[in-house]
Amino acid sequence: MNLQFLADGLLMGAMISLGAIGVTLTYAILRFANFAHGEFVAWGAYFTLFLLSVIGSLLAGPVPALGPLSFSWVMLPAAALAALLTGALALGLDACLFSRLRNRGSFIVMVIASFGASLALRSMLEFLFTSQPAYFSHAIQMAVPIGFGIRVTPDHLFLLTMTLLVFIAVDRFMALSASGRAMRAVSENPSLAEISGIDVARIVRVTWMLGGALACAAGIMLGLTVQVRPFMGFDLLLPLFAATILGGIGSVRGAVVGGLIIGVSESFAVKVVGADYRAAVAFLILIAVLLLRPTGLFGVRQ
Amino acid sequence: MMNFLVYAAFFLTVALSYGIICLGLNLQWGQTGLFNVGIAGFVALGAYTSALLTTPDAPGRLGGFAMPFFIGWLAGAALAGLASLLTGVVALRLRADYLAITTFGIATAIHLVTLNAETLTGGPFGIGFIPRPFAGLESRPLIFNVANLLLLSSIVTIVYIGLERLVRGPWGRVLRSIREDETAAISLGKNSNRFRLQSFALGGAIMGLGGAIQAHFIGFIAPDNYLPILTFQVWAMVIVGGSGNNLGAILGSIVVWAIWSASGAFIGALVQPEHQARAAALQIVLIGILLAAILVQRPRGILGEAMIVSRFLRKPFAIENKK
Amino acid sequence: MSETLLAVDNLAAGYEPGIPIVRGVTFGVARAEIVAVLGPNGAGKSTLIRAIVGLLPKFSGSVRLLDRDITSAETHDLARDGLGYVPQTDNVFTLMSVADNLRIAADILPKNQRLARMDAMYRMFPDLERLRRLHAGRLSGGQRQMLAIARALIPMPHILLLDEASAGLSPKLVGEVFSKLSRIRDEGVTVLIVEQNTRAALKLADRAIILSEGGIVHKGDSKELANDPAIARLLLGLAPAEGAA
Repeated sequence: MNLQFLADGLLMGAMISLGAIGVTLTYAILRFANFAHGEFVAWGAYFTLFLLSVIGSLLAGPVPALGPLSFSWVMLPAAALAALLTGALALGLDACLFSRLRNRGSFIVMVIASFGASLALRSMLEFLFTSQPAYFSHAIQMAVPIGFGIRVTPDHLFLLTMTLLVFIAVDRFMALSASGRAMRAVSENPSLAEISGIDVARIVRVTWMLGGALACAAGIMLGLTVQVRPFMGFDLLLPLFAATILGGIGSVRGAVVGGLIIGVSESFAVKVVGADYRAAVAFLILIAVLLLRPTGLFGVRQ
Repeated sequence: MMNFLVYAAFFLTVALSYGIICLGLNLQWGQTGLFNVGIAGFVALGAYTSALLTTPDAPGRLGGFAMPFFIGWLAGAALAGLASLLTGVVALRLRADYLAITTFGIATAIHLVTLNAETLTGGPFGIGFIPRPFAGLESRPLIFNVANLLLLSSIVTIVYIGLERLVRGPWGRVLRSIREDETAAISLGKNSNRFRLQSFALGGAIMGLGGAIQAHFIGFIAPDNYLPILTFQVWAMVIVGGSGNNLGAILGSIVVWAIWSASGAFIGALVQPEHQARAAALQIVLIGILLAAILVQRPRGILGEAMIVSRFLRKPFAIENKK
Repeated sequence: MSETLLAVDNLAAGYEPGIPIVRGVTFGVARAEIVAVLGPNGAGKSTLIRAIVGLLPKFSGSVRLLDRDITSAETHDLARDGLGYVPQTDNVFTLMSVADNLRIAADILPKNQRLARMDAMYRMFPDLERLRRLHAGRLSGGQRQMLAIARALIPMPHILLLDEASAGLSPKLVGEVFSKLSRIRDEGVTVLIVEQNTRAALKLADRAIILSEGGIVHKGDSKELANDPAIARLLLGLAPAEGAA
């Protein structure tokens, strides 16, 4: 059996995981399913695209690619800035929309508000950049064999390593930092968290920044491995939700494991039944989890 | 003048077909507090079912069966209702957002089927030659469109009266008591899940009916008619009209459809063809912002809310009424 | 009486605006005394304490802690201002370890004090040190109450407010919790308890405030109140509540 699907699935799964961490944290701390989270992925990719061209135009002459990779060092500052901008976008959306509904106690209305926001944000991208796909780089990379019949490109190896580091960093942040502790506390019991001296409004801001930045990372990955287009985030939304629920609401590790499972399952399904019904895989897994184990793999509440 | 009347009749017909879908959502959301983000999927299910049953035999595709259109409409409603029932069985016992996510998934799955199951749905090209009511009058546009408007108005009236009777009767009282205070309703010995399931399935059937009827007025359906933008439009109609208010839902559908059509016509007339795709995207942005502004500024809708849904006020944050 | 630490003046509060559950409540608590708020079910005791800490809206009146007006302070600032609060239920983070529960509270202190304060709590509640890696959800009722008190004490509050600290505990455990409270007072912390368990509370407290139907009906030395037959009727249910007012 050719194991190539495993490598493809892990790569796709890593992107889903990056997005699902944001969804699961928003869900646990702000208590609503954010349908606009996919748009943070797309906006992150477009921010990066924009910054790449801005920084590129400031430099004299073209910059050579980094070693065997398809992109130059310019990608690193562009990605960092784009992550900040995406976090700021999430914060801005909260300030304009979600916080007002939250203050009125309309938690359920926030879901439909996020659905409307997702449509508006996506259409804004179509307005600004048209629906034509764009690319970070037109360089063609050769995939190199790494054994078991699996071939990967240097970009893919780099991205998988980077996401692994990000996952470890986020996990340690949640377990050991004061902000991570406070996020866990607010997600379990906001009232007790306030009493204990935690400024819940600040934790909400940290959550949006973190979720936005990780969504941006997913967008950059998706842009480097596939392409950049306005619907890229929306098409990722169902896998994000499926990964979040499969992993268990509020669990960062669950989101990572859930994302990887969804990614590999999709890739396996494409191998077996073809690409037409790829998007149905996340749906089937979602239904199975809701029927069999609604708390998810690592979750404690429904 | 003549042309205007023809257009007005056609416009109202389409708006009222949205009105039926809105009545379905209003039962689910306004009366019961249930969240449906997959409206497009249930509408598509009704439309495709009816199209499949009523179109003439088509090569390369299952059917059509050339049945009378009212059989198609009822079958469309029945299938969408059944799909809603199954969705409800999976997701209703869990927390509210899970229903939203599940319905979103259903709509995605239905969209995939309409796109890829070509022998059933015609694939990306969709299904054409869907029979129109009063097709014999088509040569006289005014009479044809007015006849259709009258037909649709009477269907909307029947659905409206039926729903009003239901929600003002004992069944509606139970729904309200569940929505207001689920624990109290359960302790009164009422199986709240069963009632919510009934409401969700009936609402889904009404959406399917709306979708089926709409397909017969447009005459042609394709997967791209049933994108999330449709779900968004229906939500906008119900929110503008004021959730919980059936008359408001119908009025909301006319108001929002008018804004939508007018801004679309405006773009078509004033924007150069090569920029129209971008202008249409901007139109969606602006309407999205408008909807968000209504949600934030006038949570009870422009036309007001018949009943205040205090369940919305329930706060998952334990800090009650903090000022 | 020594310096007034907490001063509640003419407070009205409740859930819905215009429907006060407690009204016209005025009392003061001096440094290092134990005051019990007593009263029949539904008298508004918990509403009063929740309004003081800002979890319920105050409609009128004021609350002062030392020289600071904390009437409209944010709840999350109260821990820094020197007010510790132990809710009746859900008073520990059940999904977090005992140590993390304490760390959450210690995080508001300067870095160099955090470990010392946690060690101080482990000394005061040796059980917690033994169980520090355990999830708080797996603690027994008494252990949870100890953890909740330790959590509130970490930032060295001037005053500790406890809502029904004895609810659901066996008489032996109530004795243990109350003897801890007495020790906490001996270290200079003022204690305000809301209690259903009248006899035990009157034994522990220096003074008591008796609430009925949202207003104060008696204030006084707890020994005297314990011997007042009218109070006994009101609190121990020997006669209708109106009888005492």
